[in-house]
Amino acid sequence: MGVHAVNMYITANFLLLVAAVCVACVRWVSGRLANPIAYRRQLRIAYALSVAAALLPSTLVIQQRTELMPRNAQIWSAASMQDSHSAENSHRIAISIASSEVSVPLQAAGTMTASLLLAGFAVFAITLLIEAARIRRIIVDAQTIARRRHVRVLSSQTVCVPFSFWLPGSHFIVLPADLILRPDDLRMAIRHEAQHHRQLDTRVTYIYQLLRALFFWNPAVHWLYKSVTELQEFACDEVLIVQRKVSAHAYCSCLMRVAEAAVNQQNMSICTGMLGGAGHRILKNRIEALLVKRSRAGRAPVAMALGGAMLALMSGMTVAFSATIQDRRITPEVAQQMLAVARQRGELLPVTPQRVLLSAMHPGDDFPLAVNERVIEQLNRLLGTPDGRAFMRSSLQRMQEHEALIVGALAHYGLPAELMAVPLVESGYRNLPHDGDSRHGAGLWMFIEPTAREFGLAVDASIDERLNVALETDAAMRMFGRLYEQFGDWGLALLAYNSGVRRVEQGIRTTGSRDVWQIVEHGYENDPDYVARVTAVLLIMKNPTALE
Amino acid sequence: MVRKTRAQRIEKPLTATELEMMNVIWRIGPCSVLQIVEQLRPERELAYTSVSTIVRILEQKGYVTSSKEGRGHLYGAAVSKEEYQRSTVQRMVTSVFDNAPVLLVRRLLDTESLSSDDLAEIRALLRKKGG
Repeated sequence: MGVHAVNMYITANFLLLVAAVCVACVRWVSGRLANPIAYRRQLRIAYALSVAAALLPSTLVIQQRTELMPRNAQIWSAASMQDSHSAENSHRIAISIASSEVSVPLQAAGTMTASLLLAGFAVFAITLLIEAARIRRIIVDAQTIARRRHVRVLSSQTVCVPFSFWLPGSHFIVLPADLILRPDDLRMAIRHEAQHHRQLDTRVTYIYQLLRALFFWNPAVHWLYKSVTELQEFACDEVLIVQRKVSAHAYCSCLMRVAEAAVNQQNMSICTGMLGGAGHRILKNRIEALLVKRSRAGRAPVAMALGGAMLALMSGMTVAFSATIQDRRITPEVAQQMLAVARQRGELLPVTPQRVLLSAMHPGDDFPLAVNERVIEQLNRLLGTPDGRAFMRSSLQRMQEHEALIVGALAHYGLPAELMAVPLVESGYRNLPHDGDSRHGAGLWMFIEPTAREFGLAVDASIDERLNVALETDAAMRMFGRLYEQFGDWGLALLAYNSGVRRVEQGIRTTGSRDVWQIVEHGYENDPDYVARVTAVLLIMKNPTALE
Repeated sequence: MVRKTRAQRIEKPLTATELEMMNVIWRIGPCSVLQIVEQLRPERELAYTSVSTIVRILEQKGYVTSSKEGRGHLYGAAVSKEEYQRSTVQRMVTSVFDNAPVLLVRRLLDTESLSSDDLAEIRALLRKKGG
């Protein structure tokens, strides 16, 4: 759900940008037509596109995940191999662009983004509240000069530009007190502001304020809002001149006088002023537009066609951006699917004559293929992060070098092919020299010194036979054979390979169980989650598509 | 509805045009809008509707009360000229003269050219006030 919300937010941002560009295009096209598109139609297109930009992303919830975007532009999240083992919330978000990948802890990234967004939203909301308080002050101090049904016309000494303002149940028109002395201008101003109420501009503005607060950092939203406020003024002027037969000349003179009086007036965004949000800059354009003769129809078909095409474009964009962020964490369901595939296929390696022989001898049924929380965590570490995937890919690549040798040894000793996962977990199929710590091993199979000597490998100052892959592999085969003989269970044999026979026996005695997971639960592992890691690697080896 | 107190009534100062109307009402007593319009002419050509609107604003601000008279309304002053002068001086002392009335008097004596009669009257007023 969280990923869905983020995808919706990202998509909405793109769509708002598209809406802003589309509105600019409509205005540009209309400006170049001999008989331009009526401003009220342009305004309706702008409203429709804004609503679409805000609502289309919510259709993502219904729609199935589609992958139209290239994979390397996706973001995915999971636990990292590099994180300390005990960390509870070790999920990371990784952004891959081309060949480079950046990964940061998911929780930190989430918290930071959320707090930045919240802070921006709060700052925006506070400025709006301050503005609302200022308007309230103006309305409280103003005197009512007319009242008709829900409309209150107020006269205020503190404002220079007429404005209108809507609250549920009441429509306000606030006029400067000086305007009373010029009855013609007063009438014109009231008609202008009433038209804003009539075309719902004063209500729509709340929706735009909410969008601006939610997407405060996106310049496209502010750009769109500016276009819409300008169109509101143009549309309002147009209706008064074309439909309500106001004299264009008288109207222009009135606008000019208001503009002169307004030089020092602050702009307010939750109300619709007579000069519009942009004020003086668009005044010239408005007067020019007023003096152009317009038809009543105002190019309805062109407006419809343009609006329809743009809506279609935005719907297409919604589908394209539906999965910008993909949650690549391995869920229990996905892990179960992998387990099912693994059990069904059983094939680990390309089929070779040795493999046929081997699978005939050992079906590998009793290998601890299971999915539990520990295994899922390891799957996430190996599959859900760039570093985990890189490790798996390079290890599997290196495995090919030793494959023939190990497969041969497995066939010779009649051991299951699943043991191929052990060197991957131990050394990542690297023939690692000893690092000097007596508790650490060396070679592909990571034999520690005493075990190496026990299985006949020479380890002294002059020679370390653990680094001879063939010798160490042979020793590992003998050791696994002996462990399986002793415990009769591959899970316990694996645990014994890591922790030693004595600890496994102790675990069986203490827990009274021969279930490897139960023993592991009681802390009888030398390397935490060793069995889970081998299981996870096995599941990935049997589901090679998971790494693609 | 709670009746507004006098202090609240004078809270909202008058604009220049409103003061013009109030001066007419103070001068001729309760009158109709038409009478105000006539009184303002010929120096001030104001539309009847403008004057009517302004008088109604004065009523909301509490400076004027209206009473039904035949088909129209008569508007009378709810605040006397003296009361308005007092509140204006008070406002001026607080806002312009840093709450120091002495400053206002000094500035008055500096700027206004006062006749000997005026000065005698001021002296008499001060004596009376000082007891």
